[in-house]
Amino acid sequence: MAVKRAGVLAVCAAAWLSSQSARGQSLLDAARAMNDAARTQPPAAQVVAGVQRYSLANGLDVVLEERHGSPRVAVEVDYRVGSRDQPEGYGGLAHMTEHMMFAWARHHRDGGGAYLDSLGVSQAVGETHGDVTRYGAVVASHFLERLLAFEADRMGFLLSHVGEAQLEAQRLIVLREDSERGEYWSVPGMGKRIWQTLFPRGHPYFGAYEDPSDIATLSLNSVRWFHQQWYVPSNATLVIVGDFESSAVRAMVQRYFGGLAREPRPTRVSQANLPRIPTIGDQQVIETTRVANDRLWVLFPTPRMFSEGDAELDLAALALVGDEFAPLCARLLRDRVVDAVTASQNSMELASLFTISALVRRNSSAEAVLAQIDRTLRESAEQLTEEAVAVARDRQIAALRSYHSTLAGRAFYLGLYARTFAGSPDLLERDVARYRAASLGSVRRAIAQWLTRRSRVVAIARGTHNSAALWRQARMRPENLW
Amino acid sequence: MKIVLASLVRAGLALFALSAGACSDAQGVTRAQLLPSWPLNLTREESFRSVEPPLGARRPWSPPSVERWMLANGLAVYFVPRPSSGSVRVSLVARHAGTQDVRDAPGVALLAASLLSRGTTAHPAGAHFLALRSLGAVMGVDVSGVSMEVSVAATAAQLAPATALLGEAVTSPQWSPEIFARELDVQRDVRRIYASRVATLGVSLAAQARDGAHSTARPHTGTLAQIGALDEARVREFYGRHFNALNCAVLVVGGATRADVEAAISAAFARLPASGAALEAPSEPVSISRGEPRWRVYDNEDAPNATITIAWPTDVEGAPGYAASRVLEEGLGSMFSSRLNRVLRERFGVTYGVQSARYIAEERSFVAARITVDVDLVAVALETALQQLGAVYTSGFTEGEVEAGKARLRDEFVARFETDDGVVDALRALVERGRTPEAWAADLAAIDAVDVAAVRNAATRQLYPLHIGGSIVGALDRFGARLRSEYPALRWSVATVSP
Repeated sequence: MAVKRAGVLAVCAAAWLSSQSARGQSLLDAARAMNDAARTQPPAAQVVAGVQRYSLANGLDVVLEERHGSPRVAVEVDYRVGSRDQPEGYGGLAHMTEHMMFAWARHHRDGGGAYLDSLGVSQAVGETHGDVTRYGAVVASHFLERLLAFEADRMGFLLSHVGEAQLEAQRLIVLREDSERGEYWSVPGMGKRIWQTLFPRGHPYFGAYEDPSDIATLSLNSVRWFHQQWYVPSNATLVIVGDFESSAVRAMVQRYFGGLAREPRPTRVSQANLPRIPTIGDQQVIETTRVANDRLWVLFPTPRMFSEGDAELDLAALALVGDEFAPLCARLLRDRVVDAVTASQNSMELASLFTISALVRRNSSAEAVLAQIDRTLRESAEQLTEEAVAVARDRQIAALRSYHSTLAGRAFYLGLYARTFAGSPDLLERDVARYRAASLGSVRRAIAQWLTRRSRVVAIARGTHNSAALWRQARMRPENLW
Repeated sequence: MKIVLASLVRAGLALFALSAGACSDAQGVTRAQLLPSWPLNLTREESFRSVEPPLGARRPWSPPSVERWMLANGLAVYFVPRPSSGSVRVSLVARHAGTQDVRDAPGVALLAASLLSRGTTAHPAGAHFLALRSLGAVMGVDVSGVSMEVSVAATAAQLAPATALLGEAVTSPQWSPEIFARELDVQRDVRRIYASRVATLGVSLAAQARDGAHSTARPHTGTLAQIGALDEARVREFYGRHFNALNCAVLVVGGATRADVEAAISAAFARLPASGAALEAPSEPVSISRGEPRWRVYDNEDAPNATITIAWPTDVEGAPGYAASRVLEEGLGSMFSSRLNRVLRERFGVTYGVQSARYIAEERSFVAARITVDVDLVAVALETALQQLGAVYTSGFTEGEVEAGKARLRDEFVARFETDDGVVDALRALVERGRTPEAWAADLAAIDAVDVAAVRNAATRQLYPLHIGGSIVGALDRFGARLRSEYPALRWSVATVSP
């Protein structure tokens, strides 16, 4: 019976493949015709403050900035796809696809990672976020053409060259990554529960999580489908910053990317059609984990990237934990209830999350720390000083300028601005202006409005080990090490 | 016949739809089947893509020039102007501070450095920090195995006042029993946190396995017990011995002019005493009496994963084999295609990635490769990793591996001169070794000169089993016994260290 069924499936699969081939052939012909036309049409560039921006005929968004002085070039390819675009039940598909992008290289038998090594890339990243998946690398200028060819290859040809073996290898690596990367994603099930509590069903972020059981059952076909939907030139921005001559690099971009098939840019849910994020009250997500210290995360839904309140909450994070005199640090460290505390405004395109995380000391509890956090936030909404906000503002702007001063940082930001700000990608000063415009009053208002118990998730990873015994053990380490 | 075939296809399609249309996971969430379109790639292959693009011409680059002068008290100043930078970093580096103390009173260097940031006679306690903060400046202290650095970073416009506050911290720190007692508390916490971090614990255990009682196996931060035994007088004596003009150097990097820097540095550091002497690098003979790698296994119930750390010696900047050693390190544990990553990550998928780091000391510097794996996979991962090290020891690297390592090293070398902090780090490495900026060009040329034979030599020197130490930290109850019984091929002595 099993054999018979397999035989029938083979027949129908062949028929299905045949019909798909016919469909594909017509698409292929159309795409090729457009590509041939595109090769003869050099695009015009918009140039603002030394930053050139133009689009290829297939829709690829290109941003170039010459920076001479160090013989290196940063290349960033951002795809407008992230974990928010995963179909329901596919938590981790975006991340798996990102990993598969390193599984093949035309000119290296050991795959993309090994090929990047051969180019001497010392800063290579592949990152899957909620809104975007980014690939960044910095190379010596004389390797640039090879790097561009590699990026074009994995945008246009990856799927014909990867198979089950690569998928299985990357599946294991992704599962390991989740286990090792820390934060709440390392606690099985916690990330999914948090995000599905914060965002309503139907909101793209409702499914923007990773789930080991989903990853374990992802098929090669699902990765292929995801890549086909989203990894198309019209859905990507290519940023090149560094020591090169624009005319030569534009020719390279045209040569390697210009021939990639033109396909329509995939649509995503628009801001106007998003389901409203409801006020959820003071929700708790508690999981147990086999460590001794409790971990605590307090997550508040906050305004989306670049909208009113976003810059203020960046400054609030710095004002709360920026140094040992900042109120949250001062209180929690002075009272010796945490080993570490952080705060950050995680800005995203549809909604942001302000997150306070704490590594709770073994002689304390997550609940005790939470009470101190609540008290500090209440007081800060009224007592934060002008000086604290000014210091936070200076540090934020200095950090922003510092990122822009490096090739990789500049490429990252040019990609971000191209994706999210309208118009020219060179919008550092506009970004800086957001922080300059923030005042003591607006930061206090942002804290009072957004960092409250009216709408938040308190996530606790409860250490299940015997804290007292472990503390004794820590003091009795071999040779009293440390 | 055609009719039969059509029926079969229809039946097959129905069955296919049933099997492939949708599926549910254990929680009952319906998951639509995702099927790609065909063909998989719409882009036509073009013949030029099958040929690897040519390499461009390598662009000329030379390290930045360094302006050097000396104050009247003998303090050396190194300045690298970076006109495009809107910021400036000023660092005072005290030589040998990290290691000398290990012999006498481990932990005293870190304690002394930390105390320098706790107030001055002119700005007691928090007033110093707040004065810096009002300038938008940040002070930092760092103690390595080789030197101590006290620094300030500020906007270029605040060079003079920020440097003055740094000078105050170094020349007239506020000492008091209260501050000392409070700092001891802070430092106890720091060590307790270190002890709970598998990474730092694993590296220390690996160093201890490798070097036994030698000073380099003892953390220069000192242990809880060791810092508990320190008193204020000991810290003051250490401070006095190291913070004199002849044993220190000032490094300035950023968007400032020579004139501004000279004025700021002279005003801030003229009071640094000229008495004392430049200290010599200490030396302590190491005795190795066992002919096989040594291990520490630490059962840590608080670790969700197990971490294997393997340590082997490396050369330091300026040593004849330095560049080849670095290529060896890149090829073993750093790159995607490094031997350990290629097998443990890409082939077996047992780890997210091998992380290697260098731990530099006056003597016995080492590389530690850290491999995090599931507890159940420790033995497999350990055995595989050691096989990989052994293979390099016996057969060396291929030319492709060597060239990839060289390209990456060159890139790292150039990259560090792109930021103020990177240039300061490069200058600090020169000061630590008593080298001059001219050495940078020679270092770059040395990378270019590395070949397969040089890496083979480095492997022969450094991966000899005698020099390897390692640790396994994780919830490894009964692991030592299991390892001995189930993996007798592993010759190494694995001792379970019980608390």
